[in-house]
Amino acid sequence: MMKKNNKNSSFFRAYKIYTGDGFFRDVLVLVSWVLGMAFGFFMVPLIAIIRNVIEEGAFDERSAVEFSGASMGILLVVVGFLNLGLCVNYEKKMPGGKFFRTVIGGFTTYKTARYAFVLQTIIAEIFAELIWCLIYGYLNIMEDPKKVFLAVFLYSLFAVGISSFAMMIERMDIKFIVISMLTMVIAIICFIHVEFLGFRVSPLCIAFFLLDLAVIYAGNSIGLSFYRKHRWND
Amino acid sequence: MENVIEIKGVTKSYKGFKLGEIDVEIPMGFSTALIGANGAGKTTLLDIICGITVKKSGEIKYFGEKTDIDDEELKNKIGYCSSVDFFPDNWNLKNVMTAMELGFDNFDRKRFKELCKEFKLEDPDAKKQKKIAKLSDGNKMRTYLAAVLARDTDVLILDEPGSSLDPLARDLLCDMFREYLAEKDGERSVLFSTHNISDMENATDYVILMAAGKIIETGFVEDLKQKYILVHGDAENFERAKPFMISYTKSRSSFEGIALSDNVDMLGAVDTVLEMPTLQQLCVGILRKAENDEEK
Repeated sequence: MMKKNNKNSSFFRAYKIYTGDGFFRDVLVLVSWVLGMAFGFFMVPLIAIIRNVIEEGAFDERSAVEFSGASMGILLVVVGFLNLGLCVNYEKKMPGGKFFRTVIGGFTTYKTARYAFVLQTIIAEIFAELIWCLIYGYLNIMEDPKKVFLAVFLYSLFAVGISSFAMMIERMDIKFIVISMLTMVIAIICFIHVEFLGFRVSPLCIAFFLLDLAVIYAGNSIGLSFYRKHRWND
Repeated sequence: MENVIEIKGVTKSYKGFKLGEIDVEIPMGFSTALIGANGAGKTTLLDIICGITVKKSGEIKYFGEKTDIDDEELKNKIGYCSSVDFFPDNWNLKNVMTAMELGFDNFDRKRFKELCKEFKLEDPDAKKQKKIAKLSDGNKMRTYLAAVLARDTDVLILDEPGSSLDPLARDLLCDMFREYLAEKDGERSVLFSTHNISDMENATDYVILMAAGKIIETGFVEDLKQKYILVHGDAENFERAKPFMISYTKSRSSFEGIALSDNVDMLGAVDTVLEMPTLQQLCVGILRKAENDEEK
């Protein structure tokens, strides 16, 4: 039994062609992965804090501030690792490369799938950041969770955009290194901005958000155009 | 005779390799084998035909009218699979089924499950399935073939489909080619590449021989077997037979070679045995000649 594909659902269709799985299911998997990794990274300082509480008999406010600052940095780094998923370009020589070049829609389907991957990464990052900040806010060990969430959200979006330019790099190992280093740098800048330079919730955040959208669009447009010209059919 | 694919003036260059100019026609309703040694350009040519690689120059016409490989109807009509890494390694059969169903309009889920059973693969609906990366090379190839054969296409283009299969599976594949061709009133065609024709001889009607990026011979198998003749004899007669052979192998006691049938009378005068060659012997002889010519 064959069915004609509904082109109106092309966004999720393109995603499924490239992954064989559902979009929202994979978002849940990514969120779980991020939170698992972030909590995992955080076990050592968490144990130190708990020990401090047991020894001192009270929760040290300074520790809480340091704790929340460090956790923000780690969260951003771990979330940034999601951007490594954007490394995958399905080069012709890679598994699946030839298959994807023969499906209906060809490069258009790939482009749609690519935007689906970017959107998925952003949704997963937002959920992970939100859950993280809610937990910290509830436990009262984060200074101003709203501010932290907004900062991490804006900087992680920026990292997504910058990572998209890496589509122009062919070698996976170099792409991996470049995106990892960019993510670390952006995480450090975010940490410094929040902890030392007084990041605040203000109308400037809207400008930052618009800049993020522009970088994401530019990164993907330029990256896709380059990729199509030099590597899709070469 | 109608052609399913017509290739004119196609070229492509890579570092250290040049394909073309290629001028060749693939007849409709037959199974065509694209034969050549490793590095002859078979995969490059098939990739160009299927739109995976862009050609530098030339034109390809499909089904006598279409020339744009990105045309949706054409993509549905062509069933292509490679022999290596066709699907992502982290997929299982369920992922393959999902992606194929969405990627083409003519994929038949039921037929795919039947083919998986015939090829002794897992059930695509099973809860726990192995990923493609964990399958043997033979089972990977069976997976790719099941996926492409489960589509209602008009031409199959397969890159070395027999390379990882055991003899029984290759035999099954040859039968499937025949079944495929028999449907749709002879308007279906198969084009496959191979560097080991002996295993696919039963499935071959038309032959295209390639060497060093060029087409060196084409024709229906029966016509080629009439055009060429297999020569063998004792070593002492070799020098007299040599001028009439296009290629040969020689040992201390005997020799064997391929000659044009036009030279049958001359060879008859030399003490040699003349036979109709098998397709394997024919291909080896012609490819050997091409190799020798290139060395000169």
